[in-house]
Amino acid sequence: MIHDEFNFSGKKVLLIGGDSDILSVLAKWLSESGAELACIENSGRGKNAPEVTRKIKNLGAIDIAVNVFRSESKFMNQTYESIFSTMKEQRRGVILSILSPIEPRDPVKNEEFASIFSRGSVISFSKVFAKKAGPFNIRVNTVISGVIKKVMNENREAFEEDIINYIPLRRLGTPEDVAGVALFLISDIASYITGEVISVNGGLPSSLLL
Amino acid sequence: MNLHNYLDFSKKVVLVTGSSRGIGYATAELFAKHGAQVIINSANKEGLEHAASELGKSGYAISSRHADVSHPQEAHNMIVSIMDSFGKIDVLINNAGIIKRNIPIEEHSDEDWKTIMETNLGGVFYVSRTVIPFMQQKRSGVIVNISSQTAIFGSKCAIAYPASKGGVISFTRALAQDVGASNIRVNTVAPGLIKTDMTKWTENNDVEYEKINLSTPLRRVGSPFEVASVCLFLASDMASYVTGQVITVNGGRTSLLFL
Repeated sequence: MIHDEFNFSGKKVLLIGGDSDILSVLAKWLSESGAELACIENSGRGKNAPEVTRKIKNLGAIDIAVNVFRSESKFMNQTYESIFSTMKEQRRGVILSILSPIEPRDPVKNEEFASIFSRGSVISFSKVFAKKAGPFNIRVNTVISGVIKKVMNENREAFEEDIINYIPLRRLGTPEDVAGVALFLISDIASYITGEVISVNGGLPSSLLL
Repeated sequence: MNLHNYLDFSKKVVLVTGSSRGIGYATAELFAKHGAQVIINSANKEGLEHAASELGKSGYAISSRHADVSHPQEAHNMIVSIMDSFGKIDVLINNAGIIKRNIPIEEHSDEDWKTIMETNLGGVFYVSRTVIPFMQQKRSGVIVNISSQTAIFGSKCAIAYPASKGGVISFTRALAQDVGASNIRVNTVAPGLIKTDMTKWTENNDVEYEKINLSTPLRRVGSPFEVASVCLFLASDMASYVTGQVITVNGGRTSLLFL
């Protein structure tokens, strides 16, 4: 058992979230470890639900689903519907939601409120979903990304310089930092963890989290 | 990169307190399996010797230190002795803990309060206090503290137990802020019901056992290895940006609070 933690050979994995750097890293690791991958865009508004169903049909089964959220959380239910029903039949599965990295926001435009509301609802949804899915041997967890290093522009530089003072580890995160925790949660190392939320933020105090 | 490198602990020195049995033993065994030089510790000399000989059978790099972490001087001396022998401590797992069950608060003695607090919370403080400066010197280190889900939603055991475990969570959050700049990560694992000697009472209690199973989404108790593996993850570079966090390992039981 011990050296098989990251053996994903034969596992069927659905990655939802298109252009996310975090998912790119995870996809690379998983395919190197023998997983069979299907990727789709996260179009939001539940529009990807038919595509999710199609991809699962193509895979023939689904062991792991990872979803990266930006702002749209209202339609998670639709996205997860066919994933859950397939896993339920299999009586096994792992679902992971990743909240995308913290971005600088304009408080005047009320962006902050909308973001907190949306991120909070992803967390609550996952916790309730974990309770519903647990008896079918399906684990559901959430990763909250902190501030992740990005291509620079002028605004970004000021934001990063400021926020780094609040981060105990005194550095910004990398896509690998978040992907590592994601990998842990979808692997069997985390076999007794469900309904859990892990922040990958270098210790940024939770009052500044969202 | 090879993912398996993430869990390669060869050349790492790992101290697991309270590791003669249960979660501590499983954690010591798991780190040793992954190549670490592991130091096991217990206040119980016989238990410690037994654990050392069991682990030794598999050819692991195991060293043992008899010390009661609730005594500041014993905790300090243990760390100094480990530094003398191995020159560093890369990973500290503060696991030593004791519990007493079913004592109503009005019958809870001062002595029980003091022993439980001094072991479960004091021990974490005494050991960490001596280890931190050595970790700061080499600007790296990982501490994992073992709390309990009772810290989050209470339990019927003697009140000092959940109180001490709640203290461990606050200790973790504060220390993470304190030592983060020295590249030291501090996190907590909060296990739920795990099959060990500490939870033996549930085995002969069908009603209680059924209740626990039904209130746990995964419908089963956990194994010590399922907690040990989370410690391994937190100590590895997979968790390189994770600090000040509490991870519950309880089959989803916390989520009941959300309904």
